[in-house]
Amino acid sequence: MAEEKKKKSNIDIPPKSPWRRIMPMVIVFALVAVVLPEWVSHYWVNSISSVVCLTMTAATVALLYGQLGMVSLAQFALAGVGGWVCLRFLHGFDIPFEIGVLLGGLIAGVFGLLLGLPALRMRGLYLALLTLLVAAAFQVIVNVISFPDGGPGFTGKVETGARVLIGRPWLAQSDAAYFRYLMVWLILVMGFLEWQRASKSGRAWALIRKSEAAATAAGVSVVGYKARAFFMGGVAAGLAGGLLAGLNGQLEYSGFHVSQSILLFALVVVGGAYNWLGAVAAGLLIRALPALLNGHGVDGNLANVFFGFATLVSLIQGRKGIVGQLADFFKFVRMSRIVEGTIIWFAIAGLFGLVYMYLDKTSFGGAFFTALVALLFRVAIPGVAWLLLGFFGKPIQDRAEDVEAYLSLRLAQLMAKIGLIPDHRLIKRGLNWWFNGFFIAWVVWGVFEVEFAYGLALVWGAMSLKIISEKLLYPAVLPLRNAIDKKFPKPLAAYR
Amino acid sequence: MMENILPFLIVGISVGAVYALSGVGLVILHRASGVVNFAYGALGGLSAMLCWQIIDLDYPDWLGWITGIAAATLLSWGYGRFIAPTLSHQDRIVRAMATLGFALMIMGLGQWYWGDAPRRLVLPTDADGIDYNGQRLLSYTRLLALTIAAVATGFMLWLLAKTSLGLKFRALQSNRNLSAILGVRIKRIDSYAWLISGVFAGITGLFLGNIVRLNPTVLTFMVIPALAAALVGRLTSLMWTVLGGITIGVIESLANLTPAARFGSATAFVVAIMALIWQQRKGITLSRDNSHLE
Amino acid sequence: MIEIKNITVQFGGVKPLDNLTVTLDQPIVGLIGPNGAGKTTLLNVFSGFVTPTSGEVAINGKSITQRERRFDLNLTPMTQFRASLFTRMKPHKRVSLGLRRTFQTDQIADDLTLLENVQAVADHGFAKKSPAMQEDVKRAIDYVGLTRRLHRKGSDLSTEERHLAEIAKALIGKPSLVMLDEPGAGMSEAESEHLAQVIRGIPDYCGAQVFLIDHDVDLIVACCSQTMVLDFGKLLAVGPTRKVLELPEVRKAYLGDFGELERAA
Repeated sequence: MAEEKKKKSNIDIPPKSPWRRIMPMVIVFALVAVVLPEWVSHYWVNSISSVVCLTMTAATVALLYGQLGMVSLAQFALAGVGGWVCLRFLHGFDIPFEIGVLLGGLIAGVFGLLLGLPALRMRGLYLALLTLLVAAAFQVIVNVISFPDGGPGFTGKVETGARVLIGRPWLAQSDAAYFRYLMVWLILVMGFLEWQRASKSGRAWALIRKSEAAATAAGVSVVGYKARAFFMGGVAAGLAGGLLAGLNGQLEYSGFHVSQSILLFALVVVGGAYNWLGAVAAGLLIRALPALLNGHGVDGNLANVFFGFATLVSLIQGRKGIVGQLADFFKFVRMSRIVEGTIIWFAIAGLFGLVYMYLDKTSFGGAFFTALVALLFRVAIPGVAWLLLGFFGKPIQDRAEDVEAYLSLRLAQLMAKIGLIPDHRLIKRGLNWWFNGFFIAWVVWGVFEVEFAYGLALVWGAMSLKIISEKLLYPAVLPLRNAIDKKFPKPLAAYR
Repeated sequence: MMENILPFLIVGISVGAVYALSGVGLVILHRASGVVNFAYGALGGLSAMLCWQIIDLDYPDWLGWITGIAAATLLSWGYGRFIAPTLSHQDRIVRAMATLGFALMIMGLGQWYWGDAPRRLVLPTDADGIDYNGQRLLSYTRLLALTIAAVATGFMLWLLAKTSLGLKFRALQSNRNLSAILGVRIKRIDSYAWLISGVFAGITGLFLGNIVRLNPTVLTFMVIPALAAALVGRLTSLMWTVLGGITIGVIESLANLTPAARFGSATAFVVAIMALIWQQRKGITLSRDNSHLE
Repeated sequence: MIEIKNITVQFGGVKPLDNLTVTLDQPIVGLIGPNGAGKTTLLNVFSGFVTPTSGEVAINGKSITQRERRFDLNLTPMTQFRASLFTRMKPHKRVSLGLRRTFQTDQIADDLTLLENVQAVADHGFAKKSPAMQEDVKRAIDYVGLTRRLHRKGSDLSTEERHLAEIAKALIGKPSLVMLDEPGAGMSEAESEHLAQVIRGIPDYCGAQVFLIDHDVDLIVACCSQTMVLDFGKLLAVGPTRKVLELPEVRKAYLGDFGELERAA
């Protein structure tokens, strides 16, 4: 009997097949591609299009860093190479857009391989320094020869007269269509990278990451697999460069400053290098945060301060990044709660979307999205705040908890004294509500142009509705919860 | 012919001296604490911007210099004392990347406060200099930079070779854990290294702000030529670092005479890339941390 | 069968292996010796991480350190070609010749599951993905007794399980020589017993010879019919395990307090 029980507690869930691991990403991207252009303003469609290209580049940084622990600060320069080649071919020859992009990717891949050659010998710090130097050298070169814009000769630079723009592909002329077109590329590229991670290459990389000697003894060609990662990284970055060129029909030198490469790496660290969402987070942050700050009349350069701080925190806290922390968190959440939470979240968000659309305060999507973010932050912010405290060291983290506990206790005692029901988590909750309300409302004010008061009402409304619905639904869904947990067991969640 | 080259050569040497000085600051820190400080340029930039700000507010010049250097030193020390220890158990690469975060923070603050407006940091030594054939060959600022670079390098060589602090630096360089067991107070010695490196960053920041351009972003990325110089010295040898810095400066300056003048600013990177590849020519097929093979 | 002829390895002034000559023909061979005796260096010579200064190692009659004579009419052209390349053959290619090893510190990747860890080895031991490969992986895991941990992440395995997983990794494909470098480190007595059982079964499981390095003399006694003792790079003794362990010079060099241990037991 005891043996039986022991075995049951050790139930292991077989890992999903590579295809099933990619599916969530594909579904999310497809949904975003279909829905997003309908919701946001014209300015944001173009911004988010460039976010897509950045995400693709960030994915290559994440591939090298997450899979092999190699820091490449030159991925953005490789995107520049891809963009340059793509522009040159499209100006020089009458070829379809896709061929140009592919050629750019291929040549950037070769450059990536060249960059990776020394990497087969050097590791860690020296590789990072080498790639930084390459990125800096690329910046100088591209500054001098500039990106092609329809002129003659090898550089294809117009000396005098108007710059020529390259055309977009015929089926993606409008901004929204081009965004969707980019999403298709993104799905293909990131799907391929994810598939590599989940199959033979991924396993070989994991062995190399653990120890090159052990990988060798297991028959893995260390050199071959490192080169493969660099080539794939180069191709994907090059494709991103070409696609970025297609977005505006040209490329600017200033976009390929070495600082961009550094920022990209820093944000991959912040977002998380082990998950596709990390690359998305990096792409979003690098473009959206400065734009958001500028939109509110705050200097976008302050974003750099935040990025730097976040990088420090991520590195001190371990190397999983925001997404990794979230994934760890979800390991401990039972399946039933995830299902139930998702349904309730979407119901509430849909409700608010309809109400706000009816009141004509914003689009359905705007309110829907805001409500979702509010609900997400309600769960995530306490954890993030705790992480940020950890930046100052464990003692400070502990001390802050002590202080909070002491104040909460006192407050609860006070409440009991004056005849209220004591609540020990009032301070934490209060801070959470206050921060979520004001922060999200402020952001939404900029993005969807919702008045601040309505934004606040939306956030707090969604949060309170979630709590109320949970209380009301609890007895009804209890058997359902148990049934789901039985069907999808999560060994780690049982510890909670 | 010589007539033409000489001015460029002299200018090259003086700029190279500033690179060398930055490189020495980086090498000292790397030798003692094992950290490559990407925030070095940002600290220098902060020093230069603060100095300009104070002179612009009509305070005396010397106050500006001292404030600039002091700010860089204090920040560098603070990072080394409070933030670097939380990462001490991590790889070298992670410790280096963390300074990248620090650099972004300082740079972001600088960009936010001072922006991109064109400015000039004027030092009193700019006004006069050594003339040759009626042409200004070398301003006193550059001469001063050259002198300081020589003196500082000499001082650091002396410090490493003769003093007990230098001995501890060298002990940490060879084995940190062992040194700790033998009673070297790692955190304290590390913070001294950060302090010294911060002074170097502050001084070079002032010179670079004067010679190159007074802009927080530009100065932040001046860490790359400094790194290039340090890489010529394998991040450990002071003499090679100085040599590397001066070589870079001279080639950069002489490139102005060639048709490839516009590519001149890539010199530092090319020199360092070649140095890196040359140093790794023998290479190893396995990773360096093959302790599990022992 | 392992034939070692006059192997010397020299790093500067240090000689981890000094003119070592020995033939090991038993299915399970033990290697013991004090720290710094050159045990792991010998293993590294086998797996190609260390090139010997002089001498030759042959496994099952095939030299893995020296080129064979080119025009041996008994060999097929392909074998000749491979043999001629052997000295220059990269360590990772030796896997295809049946050499397997484990390391002192286990090399289980934390973020892969046990199955994936073993699979990673199989990826390179077979020509291409096949049902036989899947079968082989499952069989190896089952053999070391870890089937119930099949889908655990490497980070969630215990020390014992990680060591066993290492052994499973070494059993993939058609190994001819399995070298185990201190598989019993950090194991309790009960765990050691299971380990000994696993090691004893390896020759029957896949027909490979086992070369076992360990400090745990009990494990050596339990598994090995033949044992060699190294001391400062030199061969101190070789022969049936029991006899070797009783030699006075072995006790003196390595098992100074073995008598005490025995009395305690």
